[in-house]
Amino acid sequence: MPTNRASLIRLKFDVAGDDFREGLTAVISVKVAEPQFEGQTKTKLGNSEVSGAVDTCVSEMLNNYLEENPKEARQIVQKVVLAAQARHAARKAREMVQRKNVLGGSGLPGKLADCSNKDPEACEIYLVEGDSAGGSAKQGRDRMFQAILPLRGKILNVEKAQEHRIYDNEEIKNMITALGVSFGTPENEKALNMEKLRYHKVIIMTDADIDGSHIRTLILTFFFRYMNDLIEKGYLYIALPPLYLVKKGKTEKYAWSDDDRDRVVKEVAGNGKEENVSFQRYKGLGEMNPEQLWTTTMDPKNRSLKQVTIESAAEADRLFSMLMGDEVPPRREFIEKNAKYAKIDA
Amino acid sequence: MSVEIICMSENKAPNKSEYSANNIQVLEGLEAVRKRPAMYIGDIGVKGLHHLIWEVVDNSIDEALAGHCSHINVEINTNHSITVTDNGRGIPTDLHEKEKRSALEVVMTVLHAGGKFDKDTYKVSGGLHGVGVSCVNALSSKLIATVHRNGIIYQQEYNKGIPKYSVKEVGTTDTTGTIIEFHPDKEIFTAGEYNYETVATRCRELSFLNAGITITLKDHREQEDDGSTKGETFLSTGGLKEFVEYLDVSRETLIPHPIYMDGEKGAIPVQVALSYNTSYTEHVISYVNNINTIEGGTHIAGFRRALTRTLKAYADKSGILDKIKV
Repeated sequence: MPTNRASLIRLKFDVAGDDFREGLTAVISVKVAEPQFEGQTKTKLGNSEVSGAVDTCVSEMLNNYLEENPKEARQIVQKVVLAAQARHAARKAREMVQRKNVLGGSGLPGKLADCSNKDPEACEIYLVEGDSAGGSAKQGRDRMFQAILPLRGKILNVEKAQEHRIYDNEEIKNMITALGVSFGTPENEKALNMEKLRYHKVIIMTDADIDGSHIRTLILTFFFRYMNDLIEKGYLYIALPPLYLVKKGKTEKYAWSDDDRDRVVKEVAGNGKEENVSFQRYKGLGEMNPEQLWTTTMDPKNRSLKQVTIESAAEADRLFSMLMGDEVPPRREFIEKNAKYAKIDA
Repeated sequence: MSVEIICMSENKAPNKSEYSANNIQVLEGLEAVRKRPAMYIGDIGVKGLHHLIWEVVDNSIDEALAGHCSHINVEINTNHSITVTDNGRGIPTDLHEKEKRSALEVVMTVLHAGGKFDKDTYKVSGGLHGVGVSCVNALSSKLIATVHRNGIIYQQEYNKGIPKYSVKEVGTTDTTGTIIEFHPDKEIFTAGEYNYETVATRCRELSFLNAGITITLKDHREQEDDGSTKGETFLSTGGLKEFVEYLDVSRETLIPHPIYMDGEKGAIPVQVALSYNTSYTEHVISYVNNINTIEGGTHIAGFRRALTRTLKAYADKSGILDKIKV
């Protein structure tokens, strides 16, 4: 083979083992008369003779396949090259995002309203949907320990984008720099480096409508794919703004669900008639003024936050690829199957 | 389910005095299983409870791999028991010369007894990680083994691994096969219920790994909306090919059909199916004797090496790379 290496060298970059396995799905099944199992859970095969047997079988048959199916072979090779290119572009993009940090003063995004405390453990950052809600949040917050980063529109669906494009996206770049994280640890060039993480609470705050929940899912997908460690540490939260404002005369109360609303209406009505009580459905964060936003959603004494956790990594992976990926039929099937458990937001 | 018996102590000549000595050893063996069940089946929680099913089903799969069985039924009964039925040759019931007992009784009560340790009976077999059906027997408050063989139905019942009676004939039949019904001992498995999804997932996996075998699962504890018993039938004709398609159902594939290879090298049968999709992640699952090797190992290493080397060589040779601009 050494004589044939020329064209790969011409690519100006190396093609790593990882590149050959991007987008690969495979099942390998071997039968071994006396298997030796190693590893912590005794699920690692140790028989050295198996390695050569699989190697020989796979090379032989894969070679035949490639020779007989030139069209498919070409597609696979192109995918590998794309993967290698993307890996290099991603490394460059990651480095770019990180270099800006060093050069441009504080390097923090202009949209970020930072807090004055610098202790990450005490600080929290709100990722807020839209500039207008971001404005109210900035006015309503406690600037001592609460930072606000408004995100414009729908952020990139990372499930459908290649890695280097993700680091080009303005909103994602802002999130990365605002959080103070970087990619690459001494052990792994892709791993999340949280050494300089600036907040130990990252709170997603979106409107309580369909768009809001879509944006929330997009942000969650990004964190799941690229900052999973942050989720595992338990740093990611979702803010729960109230759904209803219940009013009677000068008394104002909030409700977080339909049941909650009925209960609050009764409570506010007291001995009087329930008809005298009015309630308003909040469709967006923008409908609340800064004080209301503070008391209901941001004040640590009153607010409720949902912590994001992942129970099963494999199942989460399957779900995210299904819900955010390209293929529609499995998603429809999943949604129809689970429709009875979901409430339709009209 | 059929197991040919081979004796573990072949160098010893059998005689009457050894028979009784062996008998004591047998009791000690099953007693050990009851004393330290976790050593044999992993744990005594929900996982161990399910392991009992795999142990029995593995025997039927082996019979199928040897080409003698096409259908396996797994039933979860309302009384917390499990019934596994196959249409294999049936466990031999004739007298085992060295043990002086019915072969069926030996299989059910002696640890490590069975054809799996004899390469001639079963060239390959699953479930080698386990200790066989005798282990399940030891951990069951009640187990009934029924064998259809030679036109006769044989039966034997056990409590905690101890036979209640010698193998007896209970009727005639025109089929062959083995039926094992066992009730996990509540003294050992103090908590936990069978999970339908767990059993179904494993049955599906086994049907992909062993193409052509029909595995039927029935859960008598639950009913579908139309009143029928909850259940599924798993049969894969495409084997690993279908497995890969199943895994990639929500991903867009790059090549129309998975690449499939089935070969053998140095008496090691190797089956591989692979496909490429447009996602950016890698998804490789590996099995040794039908057991999922989560931590990988030498077979994965060999696969990766071959994949990288072959594709690299092909890319170089074909000149596809020349047309790609960097």
